[in-house]
Amino acid sequence: MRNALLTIVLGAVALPAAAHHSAAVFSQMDKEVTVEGVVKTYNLGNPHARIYMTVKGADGKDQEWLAEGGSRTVLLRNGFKGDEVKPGDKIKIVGNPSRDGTNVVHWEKLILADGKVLWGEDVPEPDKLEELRHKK
Amino acid sequence: MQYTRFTLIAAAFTATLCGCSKPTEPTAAKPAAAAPAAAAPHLEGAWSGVMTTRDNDFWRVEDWGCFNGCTDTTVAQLRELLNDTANDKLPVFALIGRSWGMARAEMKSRLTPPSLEIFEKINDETDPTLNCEPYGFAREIVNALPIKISKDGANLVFEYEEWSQKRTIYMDGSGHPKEVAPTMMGHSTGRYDNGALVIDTVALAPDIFYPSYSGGGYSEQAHATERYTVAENPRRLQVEVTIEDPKMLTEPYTFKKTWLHTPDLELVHDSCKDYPTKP
Repeated sequence: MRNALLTIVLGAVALPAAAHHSAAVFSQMDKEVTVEGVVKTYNLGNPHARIYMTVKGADGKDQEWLAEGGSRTVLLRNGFKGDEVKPGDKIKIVGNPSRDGTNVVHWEKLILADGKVLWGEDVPEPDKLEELRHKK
Repeated sequence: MQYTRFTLIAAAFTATLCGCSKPTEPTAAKPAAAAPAAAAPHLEGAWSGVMTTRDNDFWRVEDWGCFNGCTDTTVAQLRELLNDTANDKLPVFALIGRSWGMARAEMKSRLTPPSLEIFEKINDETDPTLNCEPYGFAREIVNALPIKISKDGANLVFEYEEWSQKRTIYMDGSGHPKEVAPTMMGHSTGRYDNGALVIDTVALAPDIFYPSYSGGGYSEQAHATERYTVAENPRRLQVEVTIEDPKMLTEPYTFKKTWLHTPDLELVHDSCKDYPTKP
């Protein structure tokens, strides 16, 4: 990963988790954060897979976060079944923070409690896309 | 809030919107106008966009940036961003995002006032698709997921994995019916022209373009022309779509997309109802 891995400072913002579905536009794709929380709802749905989660802020208060990943049928083809996580599961999401400061993370990797990592996007991993930068 | 198609209409249209009725069958029963076999491309089968053939060497960054179709201008602008050494430290994803902003600016320049109203109101956060509303014609025909083309007698059938929508292309040469109710996918007739399949579509229910990198909307006056060609090495399907709409566009809007041939692929049923998007 060429992107700097940041651990997000929670509590700096407590904005509602709005829905987005164009990560390249609405996320800071040059930044990467890790958001750790407890699953509230998981939908392998349209237009993109979503995990709503409760995250403990720096002030100790709960915050509602949304992690949004790839298209449902693409993830199905990549082995997702829709039961990857369930409410109450402790997870980590590695992804890109929103540009507008809302509690939304563009979900790249889902790290389960047992350490298993699932790539949750329907686009290439950043390093693979970088390899195409000058390919015409 | 997200917008429903109802609010879209309230904003800009007085035309009736109905996405549920099927197109009226052509009324004039003329004999089938058989196209010369050599002029008909072999289109049958499943075709996949970049997301479901991600490891194929054919794809370039431009294909990832344009996975839902792009104008030539957008493709050139993205390549310019990629070639600019000043951007070398910016991730490719960020440059794609920047090119989408440029694409929206380009789109905005061709919108009439009622379409501009939609452009300003509908964005990625207010997109009706977030409320499980399927794509209208302009988004569906170039959506990111696989498509399947088959024959139904003399006609062609296009099936789209995304939203599991389907449309018939009437190939019997009878033209559009005089009276046909607008539908999401409209009424389409096809013909072969110098190795290409050319589809003419009218009777489209008003809807929106991709808010991520185009925006605005089209009306019941929209007229679409799709030109499909097949190229080899790798075998791929290319389309050039032109939408004209005197009510919503000041000039025709032309965009392109490519799919790779994936003969073994089966479409997956895609339904928001099965997987609700809200907690």
